[in-house]
Amino acid sequence: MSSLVVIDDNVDTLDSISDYLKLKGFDVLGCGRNGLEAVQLYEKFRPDIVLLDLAMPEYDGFYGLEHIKKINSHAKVVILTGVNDEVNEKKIKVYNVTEVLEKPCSLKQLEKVLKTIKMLV
Amino acid sequence: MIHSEKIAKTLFEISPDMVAILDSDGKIIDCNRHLEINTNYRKNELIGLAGPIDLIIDEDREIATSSFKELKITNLKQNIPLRMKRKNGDVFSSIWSGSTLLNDFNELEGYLVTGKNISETQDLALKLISVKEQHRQEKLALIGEFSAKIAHDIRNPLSIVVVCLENLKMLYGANEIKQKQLDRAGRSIERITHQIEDVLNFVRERPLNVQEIILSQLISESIDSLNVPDGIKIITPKNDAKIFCDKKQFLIVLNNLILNGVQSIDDTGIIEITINESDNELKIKIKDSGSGVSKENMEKKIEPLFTTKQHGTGLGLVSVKSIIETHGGIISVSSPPTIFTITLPKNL
Repeated sequence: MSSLVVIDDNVDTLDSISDYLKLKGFDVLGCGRNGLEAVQLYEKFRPDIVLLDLAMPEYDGFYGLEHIKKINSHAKVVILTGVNDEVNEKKIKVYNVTEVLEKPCSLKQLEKVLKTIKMLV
Repeated sequence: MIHSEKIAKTLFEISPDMVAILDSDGKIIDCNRHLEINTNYRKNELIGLAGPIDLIIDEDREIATSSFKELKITNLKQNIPLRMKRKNGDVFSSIWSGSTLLNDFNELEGYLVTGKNISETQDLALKLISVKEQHRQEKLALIGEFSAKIAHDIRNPLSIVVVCLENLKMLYGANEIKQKQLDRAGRSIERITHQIEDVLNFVRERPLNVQEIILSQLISESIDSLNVPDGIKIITPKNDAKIFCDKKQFLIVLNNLILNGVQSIDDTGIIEITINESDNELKIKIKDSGSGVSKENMEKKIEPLFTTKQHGTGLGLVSVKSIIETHGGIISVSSPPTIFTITLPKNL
C-alpha cells in the first residue's frame, strides 16, 4: 500500500482522515498542520503521496506544493480544496498537481484516487 | 352668511384639480389656474376648446368622446383615465370626472369637468415598486450569502463526523447492533449534507466552465461520490458519448437525479441510466423502479421547496433544472415509472 503524509490545519479533519487511511491499509507516515510542516515531513519521509489541504494559515498549501516540487518535481501531491475557484485552478495548474479533490469529497472518491495513484507510483 | 356663489367661485379657484366649465356644446367657457398650469395654455387659449377632448392625445380621443356622450345621458361620469397633451407636446396622465349642469327647468346649461394629474402619483408608484423590488433583491442576496456562509461552516464539521463514523464502522462493524447504529447515524448525516449541498447549489451563481466530458466517466464519478444502499442496483449505459458541459455543475445534476431515484426506492430496486444520441442532441434518461409520482405532483416537482419527502429542501431538482437550462437543454419527467429525461444540444 502507498505511504502518505496528510496535511490539514484542522486537527479533527487531520486525525479522522489519517485514522481512516490507516484503517484502509495506507501507511500514514506523518501529519502536519501547514505548508511548512508539509515540506519538512516530505523531506524526512519521502512518502509516495502527499495529501495537502490548500487553505491553511501562515504557510498555506501553495507554499507546501511549491517547495515539495522543488525537492522532487515528480512528487505526487493530491490537493484538498474547499473553494476551487478560477484563481486557485490557475495556480494549481502551474505546479503539475496529481489530483485535485474539492472538499468535502467522499471517502470512496478519496480512496479511489489514492489507489489509482499507487498504481502509477 | 357667505353667498353660495362666492363659495362656489372660491372652490373653483382653489381646487388643486383641473376644473373647467363647459357650455352645452362642450366648449370651455371658464377654467381654473390648475388647468392652465398643467396644460401650459393660458386661459384665453383654453376658452373655446372642446374640453378636455381637444387636450387629449389622439389615442385616447375615442374614450373621451364616448365618455362625454354617456355623460350627456347619465349626467355623471367619473374616473375616466385620459392622457393629456401640454402646449409643448409633453404628455401626462390624468383622471377626469364630469357632471351636467342643469337649470331649474332641468335643461342642460353646461358641464362641470374636473381632472387630476396623476403623473406624479404614477411616477411615485413606479418608484415605490422599483425600490421595493430592489429591497427584495438585496434581501434575497443577503439571505443567499448568509445561507452560503452557514452551510459552509456546517459542512466542515459534518464531514469530520462522516469520516469518524466510517472509522467506527471499520473498528466495530463486526458487531451487528453497533453497525446498525452507525449506519443510521451515517444516513442522517448524509441527508443533512445533501440538504446543505442543495441550498449551496441553489444559492451559488457560478459561471459556466465548459469542457468536453466523457459521459461514462462523469456518471461513474457521480455514482462513486454517492452512498448507494446495497439493495439498489445502478445500471449504467452500454454506449457512451461526449458532451460539452461544465463538469462540476453537471455532476450536481447527476448526483441529484440519481439520489432522487435512490430516495424513491424503498428497499431494493434498480436505477437505469441510458444515453441516446442523434445528430443534434443527446438524451440522458434516469429511470428508477420506485413508487412513482402522481400527476398533480409531477408539475410541482421542479418548483422550489416542493417536496413530498419527509426530508429535503425541495431545492435539488430546481438547481438541476436551472443548470440544464443554462446548458441550453431541457429536463422533463414522466411517471410511473419515474423517468427524468435530459435533452441537451450537441453543441453549446
